[in-house]
Amino acid sequence: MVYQLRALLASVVQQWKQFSTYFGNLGFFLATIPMAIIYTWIAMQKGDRQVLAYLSVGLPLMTVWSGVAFRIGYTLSSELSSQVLQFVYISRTPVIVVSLGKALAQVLWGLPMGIISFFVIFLMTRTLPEVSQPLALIVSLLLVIVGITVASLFFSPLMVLVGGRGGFFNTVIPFGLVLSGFVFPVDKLPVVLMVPARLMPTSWAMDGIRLSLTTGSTWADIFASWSLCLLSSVFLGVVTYAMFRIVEKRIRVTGTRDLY
Amino acid sequence: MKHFVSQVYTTYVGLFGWLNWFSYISTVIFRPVVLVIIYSVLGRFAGSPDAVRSYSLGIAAYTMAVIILPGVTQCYTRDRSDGTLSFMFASPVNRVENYLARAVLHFPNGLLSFVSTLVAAWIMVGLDFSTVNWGGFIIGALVIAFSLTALGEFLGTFAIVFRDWSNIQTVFVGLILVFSGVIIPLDIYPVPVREIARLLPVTNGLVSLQNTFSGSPLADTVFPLLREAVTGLVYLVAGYLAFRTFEIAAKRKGTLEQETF
Repeated sequence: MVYQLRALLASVVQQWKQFSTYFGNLGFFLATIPMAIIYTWIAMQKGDRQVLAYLSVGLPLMTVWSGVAFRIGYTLSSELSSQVLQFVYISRTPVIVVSLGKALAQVLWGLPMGIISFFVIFLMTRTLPEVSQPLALIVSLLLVIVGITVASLFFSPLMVLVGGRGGFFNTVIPFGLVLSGFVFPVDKLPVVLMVPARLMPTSWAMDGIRLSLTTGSTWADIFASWSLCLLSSVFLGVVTYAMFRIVEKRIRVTGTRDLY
Repeated sequence: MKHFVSQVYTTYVGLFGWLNWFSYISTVIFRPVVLVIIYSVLGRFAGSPDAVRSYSLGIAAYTMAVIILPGVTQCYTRDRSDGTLSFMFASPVNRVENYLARAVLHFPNGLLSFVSTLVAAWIMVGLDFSTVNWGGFIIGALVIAFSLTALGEFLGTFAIVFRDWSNIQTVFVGLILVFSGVIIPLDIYPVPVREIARLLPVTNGLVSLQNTFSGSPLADTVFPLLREAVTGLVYLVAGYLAFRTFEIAAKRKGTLEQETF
């Protein structure tokens, strides 16, 4: 466990160093700031304070998620195309630990963009969200980060398994925004979209955020949303782990690494 | 003409990274649908359920930008990063032909996205087409697609002299989203910002598009439409000048694989 933790930290550091040499494709984070401006402007037309408060927290997280999902999605397939994935598999460290470290580094890298996004929204609305349960908000934010990490990691083996190529994320990211709950609570979606949205840990964590912003919400409801966030994170994590194993099997056993 | 057609085909097939079934269909057809879903649900959440109808034309114009600009700029960034640009520079190929050929097949992609958005808005939020002046409306859409393609050409050429240029189109797509009036009306900005915004594609053409959509004759909005076309022409010419200048600079300094400036 200690060795895996050390490998995880090493992976965070490696990924961080890689970003700092070329600013890690900041464009994918920056791209969502104009979108955040537009969404805020639409919400400002009616000026509902609860909606604006929700967006003040949700849109910066949307900025983080969009960049992270894209970057993480390509990590495994980039290693595959660069012919270095085989070495990762030769090593005794589970590849999911290495990928998780990379995902954490991506999230850390994206957080300042989220903060910039928050300030942009603040400049537009000139109001800070009113928080009725600050502690619940902090925990919910941490759970969103967990959700973003887990949901982004899901795409890493998926990209290899489906042979995702350039442009794969063009629709995946906007669709992820619909299901993640960053722009609106997912219970506003039609049922056909609400069901897959509830498999996303972020949709539950965003419920926690909404409850912590709303006066009169109960701790029981907040705990329920946290529990379901953790449960869906575990579920998505298990699916992701299974996909990593399939990728590994292709490399180690069937030798069909380059076949999709 | 044969050379031109051949370059249109090869630059598109060889350098457009989203030319696989999943990416192409999802980007051109499904992304606009997802955007309409986002705006309609957000409108409902924010207390303006009908807002998406008034934003539909802007969203449709914006979807042209998100497919055309990255598509054309990829033609340059991938040409350089994959190492094929140097072969083109070594060949005696007509540069005007080569420059123009890179954009041709990206133009219809924009129109397809535009149509896809409007169909999605019609099905999902009941966008009303009963009063549309179709002639003027179609001309407006074609002119906007042209000016966006021209901007893509202009931005793409900078990839010859700068590395990591691919994200510049992201910045311009963002500028178009915020400043061209696709969602936020231009008149909320101060006059200087408005004038700068009119230098962007879409800003002028959208005025014509909106008017002809509500039935106005084309003659009423001919000035913004002309301005949109001129904006496109200026970007196209400036792009060609940059294309030639950057080729000369990169060759002279031997910096095709590095930063030239």
